[in-house]
Amino acid sequence: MLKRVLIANRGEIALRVLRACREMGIETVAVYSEADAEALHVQLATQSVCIGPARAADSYLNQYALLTVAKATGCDGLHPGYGFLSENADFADACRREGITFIGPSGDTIRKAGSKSAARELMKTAGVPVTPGSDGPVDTVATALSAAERVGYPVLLKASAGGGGRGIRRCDGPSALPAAYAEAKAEAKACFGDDEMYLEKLVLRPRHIEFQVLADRFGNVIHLGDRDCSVQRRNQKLIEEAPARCLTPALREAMGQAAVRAARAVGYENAGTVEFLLDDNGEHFYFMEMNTRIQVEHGVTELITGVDLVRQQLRIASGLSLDMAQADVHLAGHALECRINAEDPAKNFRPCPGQVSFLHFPGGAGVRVDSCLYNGCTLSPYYDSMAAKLLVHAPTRLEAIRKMRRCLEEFTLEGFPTNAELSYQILYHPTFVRGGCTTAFLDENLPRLLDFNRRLSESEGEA
Amino acid sequence: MTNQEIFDLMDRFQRSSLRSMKLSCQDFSIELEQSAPAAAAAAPEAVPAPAAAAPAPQPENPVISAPLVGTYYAASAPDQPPFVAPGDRVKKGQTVCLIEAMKMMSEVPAPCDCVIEEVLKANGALTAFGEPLFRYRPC
Amino acid sequence: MEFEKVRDIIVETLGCDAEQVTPEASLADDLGADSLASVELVMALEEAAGISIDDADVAGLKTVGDIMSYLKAHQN
Repeated sequence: MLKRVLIANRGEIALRVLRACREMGIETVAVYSEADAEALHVQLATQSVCIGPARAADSYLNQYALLTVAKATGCDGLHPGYGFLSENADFADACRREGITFIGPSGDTIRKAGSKSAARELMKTAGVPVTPGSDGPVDTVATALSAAERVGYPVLLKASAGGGGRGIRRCDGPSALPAAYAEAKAEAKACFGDDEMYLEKLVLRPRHIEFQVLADRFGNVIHLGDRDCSVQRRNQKLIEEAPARCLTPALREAMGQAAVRAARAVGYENAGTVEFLLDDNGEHFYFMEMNTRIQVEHGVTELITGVDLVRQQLRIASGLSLDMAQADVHLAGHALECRINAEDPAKNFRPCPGQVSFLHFPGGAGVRVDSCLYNGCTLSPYYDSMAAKLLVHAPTRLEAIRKMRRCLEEFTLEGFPTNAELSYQILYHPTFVRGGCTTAFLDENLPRLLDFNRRLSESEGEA
Repeated sequence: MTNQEIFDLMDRFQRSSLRSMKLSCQDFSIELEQSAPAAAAAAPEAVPAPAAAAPAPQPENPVISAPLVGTYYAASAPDQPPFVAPGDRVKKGQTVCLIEAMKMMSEVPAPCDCVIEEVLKANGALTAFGEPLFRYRPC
Repeated sequence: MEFEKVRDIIVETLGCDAEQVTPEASLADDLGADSLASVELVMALEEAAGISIDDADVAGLKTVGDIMSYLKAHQN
């Protein structure tokens, strides 16, 4: 087994990994920037080393610093978490070169799965349905125009190295394409340093369904069911749930098998997620992309399957084979997750981290909170604004929704505004309760939800 | 003595700073001892000092701290004498030690003309970013 | 699904009393179900019966009796 793991991340995922390591008797080395000196996981790790100033590029993205500490402290494993270097193929290779096990797939697999256009080609050969689109990158406006003609508008212009909703532009007709193409290319260059573009048919009002996969080094690949992440704002997920209510058992079986084939197609190892788009009438699903890391929302899958995904990651990275077969995976009940972000929905979701003057997390049966917050801590402005994840698990979806409502009522955080109130409103919206949300839901209903939210606070003010 | 009185007695004894007590009356005697008198036990459990290299208490003199994370080397090579020793006078910009990160050696310069008061790191040890390496006295 | 099970689901979801739940009882008027409560009741019935009720049919479910006949007709 791995003996000592460097946690190359921060915030709640660093704490999540630390907890799994602790439970398996694996020592942990936490690295932190000066801004995170008081972070919870830094206090709990076996050893903690400051690796740089607040700026991510000089700390959490500083590959030399991470590898130096890993080697100097005798780590035999490194867990990248999500974001930061978790999908950086060169970093994965560098870890291997230094004799440190990168807890995730190999650099090559990351490259194959990471480049959206390359991945699409692989999926086609593996018999995984893909949205109609350009075969490979579109390097000029002309090639984009002809591909769009063939596929049919509306289309999406997407950055090959894209992610998190960046470097994407919608285009509804040939006249608008040149401008959209130039904009997307520029954003891709700025965000990812790689402006290779490809083009895809825009599936209108799709649902965003993703499947969790686990693969070991011995060719065993299984899936752990699906998650529905359709409640999102500008491609940033807000509420996730498992399983997806809109999937029939037959569709779940077909998509699950497709996810396994997708993982095999890229020679996957460790935990990963295959994302699909499901069209509005729930018949056709298309491969969208593969995330070669543990995901923020992995907890909902853990709750309905009882599988500790980070523990599985550590087992696989230690060279063990999967300790369960597909037949052993059972989905029980329903799980929901609300991401609590330090942002003000009334001010166009402007991030506004600060110091936590008072904090109370909900608890009780079927409630799980993943967060690094503690009373008096400071959420630093240098990184993403996610402060906590509230998760619930219950026998049915309706009970899970009612449990999450109770949790959001109980959740108290003073010091900076959060989106908790907005999530609370969503949990009372009939479309959400019916499980009818598509990725368009939040953008379409946001004005009314925020307005209701504001009217509510005003009425409370007057009362 | 009734049970209740005994419990009260034990409770009061526990909260007292007495280390031991002996009480005997006609048909009854009781002896109480406690290892950590209440006063000591009452102090809240000190939070274990964080394993992190906590920043040193405000040193009287300023320190030269590590500009990057890496392995601290006092000398340019194992067989060479250290760059500086306590009491040495150094010029601004003069190399006082090396820090190695992934086979790249970085020279750490003295921030000003000064005298090295104390060497805070052992040769070959891992130094964190911003960790104090030397205490010095400007001159 | 027999009447007792449907009744218990209605009692729990709408927070009403079992005696009120008679076949003629109207969900809105007699059992006090507002629009959201009836959406939640439909959800609870779907999950218990393992079926999916089209939104178009939901409007027709005005009384407890309507629910019983719908379930009888649609349960596999």
